[in-house]
Amino acid sequence: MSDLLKLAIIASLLAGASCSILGVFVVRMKLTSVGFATSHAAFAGAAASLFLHSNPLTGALVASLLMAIVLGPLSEKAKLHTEIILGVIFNLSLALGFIFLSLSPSSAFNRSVLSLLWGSVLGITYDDIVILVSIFGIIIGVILLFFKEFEALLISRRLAEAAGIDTKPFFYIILFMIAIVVAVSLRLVGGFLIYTLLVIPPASALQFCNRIKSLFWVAPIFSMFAVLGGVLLSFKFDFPLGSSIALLSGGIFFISILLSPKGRKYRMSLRRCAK
Amino acid sequence: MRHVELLDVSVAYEGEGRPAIHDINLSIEEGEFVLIYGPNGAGKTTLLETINGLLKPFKGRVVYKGREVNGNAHVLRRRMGYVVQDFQFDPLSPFTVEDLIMMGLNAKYGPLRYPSHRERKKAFDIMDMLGILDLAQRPVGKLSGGQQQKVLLGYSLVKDPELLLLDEPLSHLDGDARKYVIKLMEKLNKEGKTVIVVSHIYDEFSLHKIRLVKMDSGRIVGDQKGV
Repeated sequence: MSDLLKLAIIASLLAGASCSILGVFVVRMKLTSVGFATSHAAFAGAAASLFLHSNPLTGALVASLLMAIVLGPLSEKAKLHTEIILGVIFNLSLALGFIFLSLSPSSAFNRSVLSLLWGSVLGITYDDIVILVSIFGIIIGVILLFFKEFEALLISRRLAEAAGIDTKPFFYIILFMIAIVVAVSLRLVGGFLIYTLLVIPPASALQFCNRIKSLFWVAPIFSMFAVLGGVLLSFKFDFPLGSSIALLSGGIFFISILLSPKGRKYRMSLRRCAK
Repeated sequence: MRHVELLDVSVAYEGEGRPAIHDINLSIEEGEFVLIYGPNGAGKTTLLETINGLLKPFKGRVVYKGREVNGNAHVLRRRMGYVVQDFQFDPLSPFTVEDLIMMGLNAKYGPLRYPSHRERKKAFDIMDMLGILDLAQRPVGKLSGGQQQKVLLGYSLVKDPELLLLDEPLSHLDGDARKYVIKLMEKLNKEGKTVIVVSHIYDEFSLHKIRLVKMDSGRIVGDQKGV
């Protein structure tokens, strides 16, 4: 196995672990559009940076963090659900991104911006791995430090508020962490794969876990299975790596639904009620 | 001593032309047992959520033991226990009875502070008292409505609150469980806690000992003690 491929696998595993851990929040708090909207905000930021002749990663980071900053207050101000605001941000980001692309003179620039959307996992360096490891460590540290607040948010934001927990700062911390992970992982694995890793492994883990704590380790395990299996699939059949990982994640999700002890009991009780 | 005071309070929900409660003046003494009743849409839940600061009045003030609730709501809510009306847990909920009760206890403490071992033990005593100790490791979403109601009661009692706000705590409970919960509320009140309960079932309470507040169309239309 070549060094490049090893780095690609390690990066995918790290991005997968970080995304699936944050995905627990995305899935439980019904923020599924957050990954999609953030990756497109990062795309618009990178396109704007290239137009202004600066570093695309800086632009991607600034745009996704800006989205995290405005998302909460905007949905509160507009009295609309976060998902609706995310839908608006997604469209605006995409429009801005393409406007900046059309203004950029060189097609090479355009290619480097578009690779943010689709990723270039084989172009990963040791520096990228260091960044991914650092981010993974920060995410774990923050979650451990404020675990009781995050757990309360995941149980029910309404009950947490009613009990006296100020959930707003912790909600913003979650949005910030998602923005950073998306902006950094985007260039490596692409927006498509980020969205997959952010949503599918936690949704699969939810079928088996009866504790919040267990979600935080079952989701990354599913994600790692999908990443390693995706690499094998990609090798064997010469499929694109991102698509292979997404395909396997989807497979894990459907198998989880079929095998889910929670789903089975629920279906049985529905059948009993129907009788 | 005055525990809660609402001074000329009006609250409206976003996008609704009419206030849900208007011009409410209500003073509740420490250790009082208040039962609020009235038809659907009378503003009973809105009144409870205004007292604990979940809803902000557009007019008037809410005072809790001399402190304005507006601006101090989170800190003050740590001293109140609130049973939410008809809370729905989905069957895939990834948390157990113990998790939910402990969340109620943890809420008493700010970030980076944790309850002591003794307090955690007390949480199990409360589960035992409510008859849900054997359900501690069961996912909340799988329990019956009555069992979930008891879990929510445990979640609000576990932090040993000064004020109990209970929104229809008897719904989903059968006859024996209802009697038990009413007795428990009366016992907690005797121990010094202020109890404000919203309930459409009021004939099972010891009415001669409690204050009855009747609401209709967002206003207090009756207030009497020792019926």
